[in-house]
Amino acid sequence: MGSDGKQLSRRHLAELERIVGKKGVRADPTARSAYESDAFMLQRASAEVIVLPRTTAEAAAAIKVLREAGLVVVPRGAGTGLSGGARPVENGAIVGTARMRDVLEVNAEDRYARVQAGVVNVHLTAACADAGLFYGPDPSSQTACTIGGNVGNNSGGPHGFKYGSTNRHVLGLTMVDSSGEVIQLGGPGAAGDGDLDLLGPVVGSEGMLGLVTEVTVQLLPRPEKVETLLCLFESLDACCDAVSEMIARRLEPSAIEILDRLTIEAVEASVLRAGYPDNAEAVMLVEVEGGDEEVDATSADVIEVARAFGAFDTRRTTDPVERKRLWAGRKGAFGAMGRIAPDLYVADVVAPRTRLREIVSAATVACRERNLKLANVFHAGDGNLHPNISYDRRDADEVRRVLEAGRIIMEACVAAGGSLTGEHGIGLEKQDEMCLVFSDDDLEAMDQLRAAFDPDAFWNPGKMLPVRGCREIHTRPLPVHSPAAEGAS
Amino acid sequence: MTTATDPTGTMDLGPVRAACQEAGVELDDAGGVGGGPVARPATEAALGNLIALLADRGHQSPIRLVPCGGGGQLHWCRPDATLAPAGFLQLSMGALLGDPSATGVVEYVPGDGTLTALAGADLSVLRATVAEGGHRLTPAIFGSCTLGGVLASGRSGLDRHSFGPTRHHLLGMRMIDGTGRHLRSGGRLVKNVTGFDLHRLHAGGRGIFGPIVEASMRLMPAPEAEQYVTSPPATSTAAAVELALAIRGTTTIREQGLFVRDRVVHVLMSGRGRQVEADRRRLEGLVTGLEEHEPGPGAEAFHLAGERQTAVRLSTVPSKIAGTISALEASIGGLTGAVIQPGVAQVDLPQDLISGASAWPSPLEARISVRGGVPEPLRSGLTATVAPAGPESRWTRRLVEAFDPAGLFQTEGFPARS
Repeated sequence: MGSDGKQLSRRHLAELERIVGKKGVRADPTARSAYESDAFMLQRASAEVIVLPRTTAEAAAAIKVLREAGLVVVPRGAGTGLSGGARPVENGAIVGTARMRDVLEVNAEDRYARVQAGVVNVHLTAACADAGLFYGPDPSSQTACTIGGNVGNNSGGPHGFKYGSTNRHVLGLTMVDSSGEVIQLGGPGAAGDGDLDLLGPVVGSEGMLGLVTEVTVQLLPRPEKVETLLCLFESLDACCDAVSEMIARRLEPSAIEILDRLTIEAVEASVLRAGYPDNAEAVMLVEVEGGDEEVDATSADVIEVARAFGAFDTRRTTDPVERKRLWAGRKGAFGAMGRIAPDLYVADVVAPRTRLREIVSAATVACRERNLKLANVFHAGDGNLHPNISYDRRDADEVRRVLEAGRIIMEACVAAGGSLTGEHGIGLEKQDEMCLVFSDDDLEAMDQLRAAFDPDAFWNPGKMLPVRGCREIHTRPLPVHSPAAEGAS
Repeated sequence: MTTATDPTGTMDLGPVRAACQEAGVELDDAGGVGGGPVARPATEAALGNLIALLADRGHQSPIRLVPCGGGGQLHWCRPDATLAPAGFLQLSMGALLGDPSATGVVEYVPGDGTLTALAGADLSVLRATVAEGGHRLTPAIFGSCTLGGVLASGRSGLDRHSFGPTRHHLLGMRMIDGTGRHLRSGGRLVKNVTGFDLHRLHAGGRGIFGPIVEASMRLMPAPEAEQYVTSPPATSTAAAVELALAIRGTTTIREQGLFVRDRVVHVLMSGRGRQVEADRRRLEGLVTGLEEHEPGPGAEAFHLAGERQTAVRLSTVPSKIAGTISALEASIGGLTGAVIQPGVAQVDLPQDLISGASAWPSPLEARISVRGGVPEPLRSGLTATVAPAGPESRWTRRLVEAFDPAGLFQTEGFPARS
């Protein structure tokens, strides 16, 4: 229903179909049901209409119609987010980028690419492979997730350890604002120093500042040598401690990932079988990139640390086929969990890298006490944990226990100096927990930023920022430790 | 916006003095950079109170404030390029460090590779602190400056070539806005997407939303080895740039820094010891007659060779940098003193180089931004002052209205808005 209490009118539907074509408008309940949630499947809602434009111009024209119809808009990529950020809202349309899949330009000399927002992450790297280039961020869902979605959530992935998250790679954006106007921010030739960085806040804004339709990203030269290491541990704790030590020793692999026994079993029982051994409690998957000498030296150091922390076996490979198989297991781990239970809750939290073991233990205890099945697979190198809790959504009590465990994990992370999310955003799931991290003033300032871009709350309303004030939620932000602040108090 | 300055550019200090007294902030009438008035708050609470008081009374007697670190960028970040230092109040961010011997380090976590420091902390002190733990701090700027000043002015060092701009290493921030609110965004972790990245707005914001009081930075491991080499002088600046572009294009040489100055290509290689040696041998295959220099701690010699007070910065893309340089050489001459980073497609022109210039070459496929005095004939060719129209301008206006409704921190012409 629109804000005027009437269904989207036939005239508006016809106008949308005229703009984006019949295939670009999904108004029937069956088609809309596919968009009721993202990968956070515990909360569902139905959109008034799904609109799938093919170009920026179509998107801009469609936005004008939707606005006139009194609807608000939830931008959506592939819907692989874990926090409900792409779930429909009341009186809302979904504007998806599923048909905006063109790589518009690959510039090998200046090392950038310009793509439509709906380009699937892995397709971008494939498109620039012949030029000897690649795109840095590689979320585990990279065979499905889109570049626009990555921008919305500032996504990282395993190799984010070396290359950083999306915000370090975006050079420019094309956006549509709530009036249907098209804006270019940045670009390949804009150095940025000394400018007001409007691009920065847009990356990671969870679709709340506008609709991103095109993205210009920097590309990186392919490394001369890549080596993948597999280190096997009898204890998940020891594996976590080994990672903390690698960080403390300032080793620079490009990725450090951990999979625990339950994850290994799920992967090995699936079609993604990677050849992970069945006698390890935890597997550390490490990738080292660079020149020959650099890779040899760093790999040797990684293995030395792993062995010092109890790794009972280590393997190295530069064979592309074997490397691909090892990574396929890691990146397909979430999918493989489907063998354990019908539904999967994937937490996304960040711990200081000195305290990995502590947070993994807290998650284990929280799930054990609630009789929940927990598997761990995570980006250990940058402290981004993904505790996976298997459940059955038809079991209301189990759902309650899952959400309870999820909150405990978040609180443990924040109490340890960590954060609520590393790459999937706040969305709907973590709104109240924002008060664990930020004060009312901080959140008000964030809302003012949102309002500066979108004064009418047209884009993805009701997400990220708590609907109620922190004082009402009865939580408080963690104290900020600062000599100056202490001196003031 | 009206101001409380008289025609001679001197601000009426009466309201400022009263507010400082009420907020408990020391005021020095002429002790700031360039002899201007400066407020020295001892605590963040006092600074917030002072800003709030001035904002409340702003309608009675408008005041212009500028957060000030080392003051090295004040010539282009101050409210109005023509305004004398007596025309605005500097807020000393160094005063918040308290004891003159204080480092300003709030938290250095070697095991997590992060540093949190007060904005007024001297960058060289921070660099020395993290070096003890085996880390290096981006940006590699070796002149006297503060963390907050570097962030607010949006500066990057020559390490931008391999590590990207400084803002990419910024993890979070605390600041005080133009209403006196103490605000925080981001955090102290290397990975974090909790909430909007307001700190990205303040990095490069020249303090127009209020002073940065604390920032958290991601650190890089200090390299095992460094080598700093230079090429023999090329026949022209354009030829040197072509050579530098060739080095950049050779992906088997992992140069950490690369710039051209006075027809010489400067290359910094760093990383694992044997890799640096291997890269050096490859570089010798590309450039004959390399001269080796002692890089010094933290490759200081390399960075100092490329640090220069910039009057004008040109930005383009690498494929257009050679054409840009050729056009400039034809127009201005030998580009002596200019610092050219082909990898990030940036040309920094010093004041003395452009002082006699009468026009920009045409066409010039580069964006021009002013950092210092520019001769009048060159002003007509500036593109940086063209105000963006439409949403970008509206967004900027609303941001200013939200975070600095009294206009205390606003600068003339920045950000350009219609």
